[in-house]
Amino acid sequence: MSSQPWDVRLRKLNWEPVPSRYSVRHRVRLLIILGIPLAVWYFGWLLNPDRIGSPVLYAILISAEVFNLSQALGFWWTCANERVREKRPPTEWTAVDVFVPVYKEPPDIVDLTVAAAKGIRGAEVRVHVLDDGKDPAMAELAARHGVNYITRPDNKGAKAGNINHALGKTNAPFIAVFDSDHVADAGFLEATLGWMDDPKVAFVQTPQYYANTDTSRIAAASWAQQALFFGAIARGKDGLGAVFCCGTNVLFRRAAFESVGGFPTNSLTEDFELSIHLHERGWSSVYIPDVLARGLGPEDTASYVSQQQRWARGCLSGVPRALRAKLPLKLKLQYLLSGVYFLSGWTVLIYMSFPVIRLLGGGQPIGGIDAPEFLLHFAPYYICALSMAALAGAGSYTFSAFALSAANFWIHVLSTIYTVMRKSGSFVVTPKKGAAARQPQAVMPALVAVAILVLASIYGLVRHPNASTINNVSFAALHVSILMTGCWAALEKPRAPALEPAEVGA
Amino acid sequence: VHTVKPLEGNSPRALLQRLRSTREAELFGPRGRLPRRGEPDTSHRTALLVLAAITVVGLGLRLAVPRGIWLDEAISIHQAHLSLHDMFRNLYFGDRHPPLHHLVLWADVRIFGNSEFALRLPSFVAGTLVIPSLYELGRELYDRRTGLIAAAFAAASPLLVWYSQEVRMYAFVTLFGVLALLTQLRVIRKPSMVNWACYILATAALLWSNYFGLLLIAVQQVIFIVVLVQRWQRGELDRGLALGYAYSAAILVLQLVPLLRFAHNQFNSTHGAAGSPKGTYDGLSFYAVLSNMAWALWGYHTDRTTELLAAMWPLLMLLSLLLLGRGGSRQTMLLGVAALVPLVLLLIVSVYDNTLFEVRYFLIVVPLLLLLIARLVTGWIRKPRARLLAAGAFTLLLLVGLADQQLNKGNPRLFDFRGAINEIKADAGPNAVIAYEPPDMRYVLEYYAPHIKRQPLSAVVPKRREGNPLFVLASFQDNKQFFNETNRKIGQLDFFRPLVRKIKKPQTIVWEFR
Repeated sequence: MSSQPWDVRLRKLNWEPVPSRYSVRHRVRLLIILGIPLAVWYFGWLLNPDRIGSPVLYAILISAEVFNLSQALGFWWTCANERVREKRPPTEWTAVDVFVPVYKEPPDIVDLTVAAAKGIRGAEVRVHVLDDGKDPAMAELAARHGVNYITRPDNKGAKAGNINHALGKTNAPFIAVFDSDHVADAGFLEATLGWMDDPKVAFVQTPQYYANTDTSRIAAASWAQQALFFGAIARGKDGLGAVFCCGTNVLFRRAAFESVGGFPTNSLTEDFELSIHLHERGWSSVYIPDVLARGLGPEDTASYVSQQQRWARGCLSGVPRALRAKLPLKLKLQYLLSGVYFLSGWTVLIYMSFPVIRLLGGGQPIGGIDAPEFLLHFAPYYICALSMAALAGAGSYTFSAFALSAANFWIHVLSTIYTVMRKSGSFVVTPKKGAAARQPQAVMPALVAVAILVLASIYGLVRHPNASTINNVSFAALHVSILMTGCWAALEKPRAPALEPAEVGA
Repeated sequence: VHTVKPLEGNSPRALLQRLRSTREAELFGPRGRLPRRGEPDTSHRTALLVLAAITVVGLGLRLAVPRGIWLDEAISIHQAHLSLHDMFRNLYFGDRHPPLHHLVLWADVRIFGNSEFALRLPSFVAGTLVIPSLYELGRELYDRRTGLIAAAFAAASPLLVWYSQEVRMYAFVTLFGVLALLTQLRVIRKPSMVNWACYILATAALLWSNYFGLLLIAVQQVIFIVVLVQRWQRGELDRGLALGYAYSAAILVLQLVPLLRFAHNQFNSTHGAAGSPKGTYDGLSFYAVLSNMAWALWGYHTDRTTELLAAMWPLLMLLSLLLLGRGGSRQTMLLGVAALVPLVLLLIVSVYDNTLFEVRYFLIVVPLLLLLIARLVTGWIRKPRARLLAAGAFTLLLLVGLADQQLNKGNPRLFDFRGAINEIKADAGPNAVIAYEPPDMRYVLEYYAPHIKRQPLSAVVPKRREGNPLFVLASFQDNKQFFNETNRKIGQLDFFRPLVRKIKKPQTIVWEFR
């Protein structure tokens, strides 16, 4: 079977990895000069004991606000250290093992991936399909493309175990890993391999670009989240020497891999933990911002939820490891920032709860102030923080991305509880094709939250139709709008697959 | 690409539906999810027809004036009745506005007479012309579709309607502000002599209508400089544009020299308005900003409604989040800058004088905000039906706001002097006297009751005089000074004369003593 000619992964690139019009680094630094005094202005006001309304709610609010501030400061710090690396071609001929780990993905998706991997220039490329699904069709596909097909007797350690197993069967000094849906550029090695001239470099990471943003609302929103990470954040991490491996579109040095015994198999985000191991051993990492492979993002909400659950569980369980790691402080902080990001769902839950509590007759966290006083302190900080996200993302971070993340707040909440309870999780491959039906189950917690917000609003309006109620109902409306935007893809009828061929080009 | 599917059959219903679909598609884009830039624009002919209809509706809404003349208007009318020399003298020593509107009103009174309709005529005309001007600005910046939606919003905008009915200069400011931006845009695109002449005329008219026009003109100068510098850096400096700008700047300076001298004397000679509507002059705060913004979009409403509207500020957070990832085009940036910078400048100025942060002084921002909202509708919503729905819903909201503003007697800007004076006239005999507070109410009485004897309340000597009914007409009672003066005098009069009745009208009270 051959790939369809209109495969979205062959479409024109729809993203400018590095803004050409301005330097993010300079603009972020300028905004930081404004942002820090505004943060001090807001928190100096907020932390005044005179502001305490209901002590318990106040404590909860402060926790949420301090968490958000730490994330914001971390984000600003990261972006302010942006480093933009150029492509660097190899200086000597070498061999590279290209791994395509597969586990029950549709062969028509993998077909193009393998074909593209075979076409990579710049080294002696040996492509290996690592099939944990033991699918005869996959073996046939590998044979048809003339690439190596590797299976193993068990599936221990999921993707990590699969790659570790293949390490023993191959011997090239460098290893490139592509997820089964990621179509590599022919120039992948010509852009990355040169950076391996530095013997301290363990891996070169490149963006995990989603090419299916035009065909799926979820993929578009999910990509907008990715774009911020693989844009300003990844470049900033590179500037701080803290790029971590993202599991695909990455070139490894075999020696580095072997020095830490390959991928850790006891984690859901093996790449995150592997990076900690490597950095502990003194290896360094590199990030090339150019898109050198194009993959498929989750096409439906259930797939997105599954992916996020895995990332949240993995990163949160990696937090203790990051805390224990013998790393320079800035690296440790970078890992912690990435890890605890997956607690941000708690803040969404907290902010949603306040209007509900107030509308049902309960207290409020801040007391004895009026809206103008609150706004005078909060609005400048809020606008600055939001502008920073907009600027750093160069317009790629959208409301849909924010809403999708907020509507899945419960994933973070649940993952935290499971992580604390040490409940084990399983590695689930993100499905590569969208579901054909609506998926209300996948967003049920968010829908429950919407129902509570709406009912509390109605109750509040019936009971006390005054300005305070209207204010809280407006907050509830804000949350409902965000949640419903995030849920919409799961509730609408899935789109029919595109019938027209796409424009093919670089 | 036209994706409207023709319906089968030739029944009248099918034909009507087909026509409606075509019109809808033509006005609000084709069905389906085509990229915005690939959509055909509304045709020239349809746009003109729809614009004409919108303008007629807008004119109708403006002509339906449910209120009488209020104090500031009465002052303008008084000035317009003076000789030209005396009017300038009066403006020079007793007003705080440049003279363009006064001059037009002076001529208007002499041509069309002294009826309320005749007096409001210049504002009716200017306020109605804002509608096609905004369409043209929208068309010039984006496309006809955006221009039409903006025009519909402008037709129904409560605040634009309000000031299109007022015998003051604010409709002029709005019109000339929009025209100044439109002509500037044309000049930047094509710096011909005609375009430059139009730009210079529009900015001059704006400047001579209201001093706050300078805020927008200042922003325009920055825009010119940025454009010139950018073109110079690219090696594409247009000599016509640079030379034209130099001329226009010189003409601006030539106007500013006498105007600023005029303004300097005015501000030294006067101490603010005679009466101040409540709600805005209480102090500069976030609430003042929020309520002014709510008024700017939704018109004047009762204090309670305004308070409820201001309480909806969290929805602005939603708007800010919605803006994430929405790449602002150069046009939108220009519009945003032109709308927001004067507002911010006014806010800064208001730190020193909080009476200046008043919605009518940034009325020019209102059509620009409406155009931005129209752009939001055409730029963000891809499905034509949803776009139509959104534009319709927003227009409906504006109309609801307009109805409440015009008809609700609790509107804090509604001063029913006409109603109160009519009550007095019905009962006043030949010897009746009207005592008024505040002192500038004399201009209102001069217009509505020129034949009744009148005097300031402070001049009244409270003693009994049979047969001469005394009416006390008081307003601006939320002003402490006026309230105390009225209260004191009413107490004294009540001691000497029997109080026959007390009439309450919006923002106005009448006491009738015998």
